[in-house]
Amino acid sequence: MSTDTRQFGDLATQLVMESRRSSQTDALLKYNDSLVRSLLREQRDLERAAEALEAGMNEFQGPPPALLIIQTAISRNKRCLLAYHSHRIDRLRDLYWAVGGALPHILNNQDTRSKLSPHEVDYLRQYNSSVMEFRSEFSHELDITASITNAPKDLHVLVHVVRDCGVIQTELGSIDFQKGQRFMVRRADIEHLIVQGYLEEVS
Amino acid sequence: MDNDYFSIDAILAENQKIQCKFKQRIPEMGHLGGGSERDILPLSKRQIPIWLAYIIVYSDWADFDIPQPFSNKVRNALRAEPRSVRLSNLVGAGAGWYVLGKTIMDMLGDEQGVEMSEMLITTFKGRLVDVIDQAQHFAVLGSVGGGGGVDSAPQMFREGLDTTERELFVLAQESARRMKKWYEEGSGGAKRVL
Repeated sequence: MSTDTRQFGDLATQLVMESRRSSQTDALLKYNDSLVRSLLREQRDLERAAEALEAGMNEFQGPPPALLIIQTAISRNKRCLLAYHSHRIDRLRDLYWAVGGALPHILNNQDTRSKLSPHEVDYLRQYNSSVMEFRSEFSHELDITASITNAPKDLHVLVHVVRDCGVIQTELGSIDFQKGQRFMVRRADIEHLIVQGYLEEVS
Repeated sequence: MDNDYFSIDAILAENQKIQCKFKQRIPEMGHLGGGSERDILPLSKRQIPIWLAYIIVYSDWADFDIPQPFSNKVRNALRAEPRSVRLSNLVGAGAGWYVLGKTIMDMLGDEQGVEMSEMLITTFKGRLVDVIDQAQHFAVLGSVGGGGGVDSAPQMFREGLDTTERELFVLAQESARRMKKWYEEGSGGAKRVL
């Protein structure tokens, strides 16, 4: 068995340790595709070993201990794989809401993008579609992607342009936001630009 | 166990090893715990991670010893004064005493399990007040290790916190800090009503 020199669960532990490191440093790490693939290979090996033991079983004796142990190892690997992916997805959802649902902002950031697996990108896209669909049902009354950390005191806000963001539609018409300028605009129109860092609220 | 399934802390806690004394021969599994023989022989002892030990103990192929962090010596010390024990010293780096305790408790039979559960709960309750109290006191000073003087009892207590208690400490500290900030700055300078 190829698992002789390495103990059961070693690869799985390595993967879960990455999740822990990610939590401790509060950072998204690069998707560890090679480790995941190694784990999946180990699963295949274990499955084959289990099937061999099963085939050799005598119906009166019940499963040999080795079979139950191998099954336990398979479940352990599965749990670690699921936990790793689930942990990453949680972080991605938090990231999504932190930028007010501005998906392009996340995906166009090369640094972030390089850390995601293709499946994770797909997940974000689908998640975004669902959120947008849900949000559109009551967008007249409430914008669920607006910031909730600071309760707005006013309908309007004075903003300072930190980075060029081009022409944006507001209640006053189209405004070309250029770096260094200031505008008094309706908060709802440009909230997402504050969240993404293009505009800064002047208090 | 179900709500812990995805928990990274619970998964890593189950990597802790416990001493298993085998009662039967286990063919082909001699490599477990680092052995070099082909089979595990009866009466042999191996250090097995908890996640694997479950099935071994449940199937009655081996008995296990309650690990040192929950020994009678520790139990008695906690009964006498729960705040006197440095929980962080009992378990390895990054492991939690409470998380490990719960994991082991799940493996014990009813009577021992209930005993273990009571020990964990009583200890937690006995220490919690001091954890939160110190956290709020140090909200201003802002570091887990600072304040209280070198080698003082409060400092020793803080250093002995297990990982769960540490998390609570940090949360309480942060909470007290924000509260203070809100009183002082407030929305529109609201004054503190005494």
